[in-house]
Amino acid sequence: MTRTEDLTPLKSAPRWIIAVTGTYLCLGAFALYVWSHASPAFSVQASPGGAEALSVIGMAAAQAWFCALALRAFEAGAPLRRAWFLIMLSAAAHVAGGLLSQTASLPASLALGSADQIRRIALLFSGPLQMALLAAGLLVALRILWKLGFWVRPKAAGWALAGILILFTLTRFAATAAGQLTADTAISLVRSLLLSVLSLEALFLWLSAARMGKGPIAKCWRAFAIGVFVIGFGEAAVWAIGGYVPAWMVAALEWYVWFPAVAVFALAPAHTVAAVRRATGRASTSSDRIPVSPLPRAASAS
Amino acid sequence: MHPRTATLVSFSDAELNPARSRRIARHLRQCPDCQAALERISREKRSLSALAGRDRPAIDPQPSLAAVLAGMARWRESPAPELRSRARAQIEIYFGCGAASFLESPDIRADELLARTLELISTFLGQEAVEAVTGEILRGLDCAALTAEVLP
Repeated sequence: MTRTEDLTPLKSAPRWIIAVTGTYLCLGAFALYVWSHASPAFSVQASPGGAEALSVIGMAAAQAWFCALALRAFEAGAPLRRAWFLIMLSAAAHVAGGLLSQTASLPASLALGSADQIRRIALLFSGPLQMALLAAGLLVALRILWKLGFWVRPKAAGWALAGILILFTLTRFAATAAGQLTADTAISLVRSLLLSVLSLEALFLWLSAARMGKGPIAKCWRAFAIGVFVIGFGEAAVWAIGGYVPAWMVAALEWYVWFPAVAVFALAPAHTVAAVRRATGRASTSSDRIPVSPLPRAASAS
Repeated sequence: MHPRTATLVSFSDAELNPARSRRIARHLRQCPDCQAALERISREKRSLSALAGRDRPAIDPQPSLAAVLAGMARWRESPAPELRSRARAQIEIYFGCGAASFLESPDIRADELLARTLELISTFLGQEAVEAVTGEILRGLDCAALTAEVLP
């Protein structure tokens, strides 16, 4: 493969996502450092309560776009098409929730409804709906991986890792359920349960992808597992220290959880798209391409 | 330089890669010592198999050195090992070494390996990629010989 091919936009999309995320996180850390030292000199208008950062929304949009590109590689009825469709819907739900949360902060004259209502719908979209769709998509992918023989029994360390995440989500579930049940707490409860399910799926996905090796397809499914782990452990950390640090620090930490997590989710379909482009691009540039399927019904031998 | 006994054992079991196998076969044609060593190895293997009651007469109960060499020559000319290594390479490119090792059980036939490779590519990369990868694997191979050999 030539260097020119390596630099074609879609084939090098994973590298671009990593570079953008790394740069953005470094800039964020630098801005936080400057602000923490200069805060007495000027005040900072924090994002309105519940509104998602535009960077996170942008990255979720990138994820949806890459999922759509990955989806196009599969014909109707292909087993993995359903998984990509659900994952794309999950990313779209995240984008919709993020945009709605931004509109909730508009002045009352421009708002589409009451800010509380919009914020709640936004929470529903970018919380339970996004997670449920992602969990369904990953479950379809897991079943395919297992059917193809990539089933790996977790070892004690794996169970412990997933156990910690599940314990955290269930503890938060119990703490939330103990209080008065409102629409917000109900959303939070469902979200906690879905995070537990996603943690288990991420464990199995990680092990199956690790068994494959280090190719782009293995990296794709491993990226989803990493994204779920980042959300789970990040939220656990934020929850654990939430009562002991200033609110601005909690907001910053949440951003440091969600932005990398969504970036990793965008990285996953980007790896698949890059692999598809690599396969199909290479063939289309070959002058001596031979006719397809000279081995009739080769797949039937499996 | 004479090959080591372990190498000759692997050669007689057809476990060496095609290039190395070719070198050994070339050397065997010129070296009576190694021919004798290979014959001794074949004899010992037959005796051990007979002792263990696991002799497989269907293959060849008492292959002569000439038969072994002829078999090797046929194997060298066959496109199947090349097909196998190309299929493995494609799996390594898109999935990784783990998937390649996982797919390639010791007794898998070249056509089965190709089928499993294409099944994986089809599942995770789609039909267009299957067509491209099939072309990549079969490019330059003698498809007629391959079809006769791997598709009985």
